[in-house]
Amino acid sequence: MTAPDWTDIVGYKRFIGVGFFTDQQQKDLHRIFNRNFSGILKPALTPCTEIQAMKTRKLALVVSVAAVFVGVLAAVLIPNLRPWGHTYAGTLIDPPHSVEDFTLTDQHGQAFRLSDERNRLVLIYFGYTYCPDVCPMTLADMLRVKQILRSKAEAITFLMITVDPERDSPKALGQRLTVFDPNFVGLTGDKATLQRVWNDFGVYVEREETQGRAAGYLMAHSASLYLVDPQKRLRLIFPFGAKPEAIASDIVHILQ
Amino acid sequence: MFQKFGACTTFTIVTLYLSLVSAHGGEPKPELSIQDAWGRPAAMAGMSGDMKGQSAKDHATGGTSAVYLTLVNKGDAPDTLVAAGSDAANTVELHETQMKGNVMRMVPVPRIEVSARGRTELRPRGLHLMLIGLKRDLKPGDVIKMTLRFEKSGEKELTARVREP
Repeated sequence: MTAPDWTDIVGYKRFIGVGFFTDQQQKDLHRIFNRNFSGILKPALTPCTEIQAMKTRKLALVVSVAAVFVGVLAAVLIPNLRPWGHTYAGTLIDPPHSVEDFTLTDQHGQAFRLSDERNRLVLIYFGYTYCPDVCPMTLADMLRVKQILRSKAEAITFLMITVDPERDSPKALGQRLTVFDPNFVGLTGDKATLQRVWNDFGVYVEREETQGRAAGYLMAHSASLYLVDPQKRLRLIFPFGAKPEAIASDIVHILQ
Repeated sequence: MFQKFGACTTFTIVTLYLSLVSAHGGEPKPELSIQDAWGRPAAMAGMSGDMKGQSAKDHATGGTSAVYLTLVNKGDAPDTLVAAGSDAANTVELHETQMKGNVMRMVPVPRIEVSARGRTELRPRGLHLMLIGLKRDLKPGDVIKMTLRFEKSGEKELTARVREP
C-alpha cells in the first residue's frame, strides 16, 4: 500500500483501519471530510475526477440560476423583452376601429387630410387654445413622448384637433403650438366637419357658458390621447395623465 | 415747545400701547404669505382681427395662461382670495380644473379660502389663476406682476416667474 495522496482527501478512507493513521489522525480526517464535502458528494471513495465534475455541475447550476435571474430582471425592467406580452398603458381597441377620413385646416391655413399621412402613426389630442391648465400639460406630455422616441418619432404625426372652432383660428392654434413644438399640427375647421371627427373618435365636447365672466364660455371635453396606426385604424386611447414613458412604450410596441 | 414735545411723546406711547393691545388681546387676524408663484409659458393668440365675422366683444381675445401659487396663512383667522389682476393680461379669473371620468372642464370659482394656520395650493389640474387676454408673450424666465385681493388682508402684490412645469 502506497502513502495517501494528500490532494485526494476523499481517498483517505482506503487507509482507515489499516494501521496507517493514528486514531487522532483518523478523527481529524473524518472531520475535514465532513466539513468540506458532506452534502455535495456521495460518501466515501469518490474519485477526484468525479469531484471535479461535481464542482463543474455546481458551477453550471449557479451560472444558470444567475442567468435566469438576470433574464427575469431584464424582462421586468425592459418592456420589449417581456416574453409574456406587453401590458398597455392605454386602452387597446380590439378589433381596431377604422377611422373615417377627414380634411381640416392646419395652422398654416393648408388643408390636412388624414389619409395623406401614409405609413405614419398619428397621435391625436382634442383640446382648445383657450384652456390654460390641462391642455398645455397634455401638449407637454406629447412633446415628451416625441423626445423619448427620438428617431422613431419621425414616423409619427402629432395632432391637436380643436374642440372650440369658434375661437381657434389657424393662427391661434399656431401660436399655441409654437410654445411646444412648431412641427405639431393644429387642426380647425367648420363645426360640422369637426363634429363628425369628434363623434368618430367618441370625443365628448360640450360648450359651457360662464355668465358675467371674461372667459365668455369654456369647453368641457375628453382629455384623452388617441393613437391611429398607419392603416388609419384607432388602436389605443390613453387616459388623461398617462405617463409619457408608458405612451412611448405602447407606441414602440404597436410599431413592431 | 417742551410741552408740545411732551404731548407728542404721550401720543406716541398711547398709540404704541393701543397697537400692542390690539395685537395681543384683539380679534384674530389672518397673516398671509404667498409662495412658489409661477406661470405657464404662452403666446398671445388669436388677435381680434382673427375673429372674422364674429363680434370680438363677445369674447376676450388674446392668449391665455395660468398662474399657480401657494397661499400660506400663519394667522389665527381664515381669509379668502376674491379677485386677482396682472400686468400681463386684461383679466384674471379664479378657476378650477375638474376631471369627471375622462372629461375635463374648467369651472370659474368665486372665491378661494385659506383656513387659519392653513395653506391652499393652486397647482396644475386643480385651482389656478387664469390669465385671459394676454398683453404679451410669456417666455420662460419672464416675470409677471400679480395683485391678489383678499377679503380681510386686502391687496397683496407679488411676482410670478414664467417657467415650464
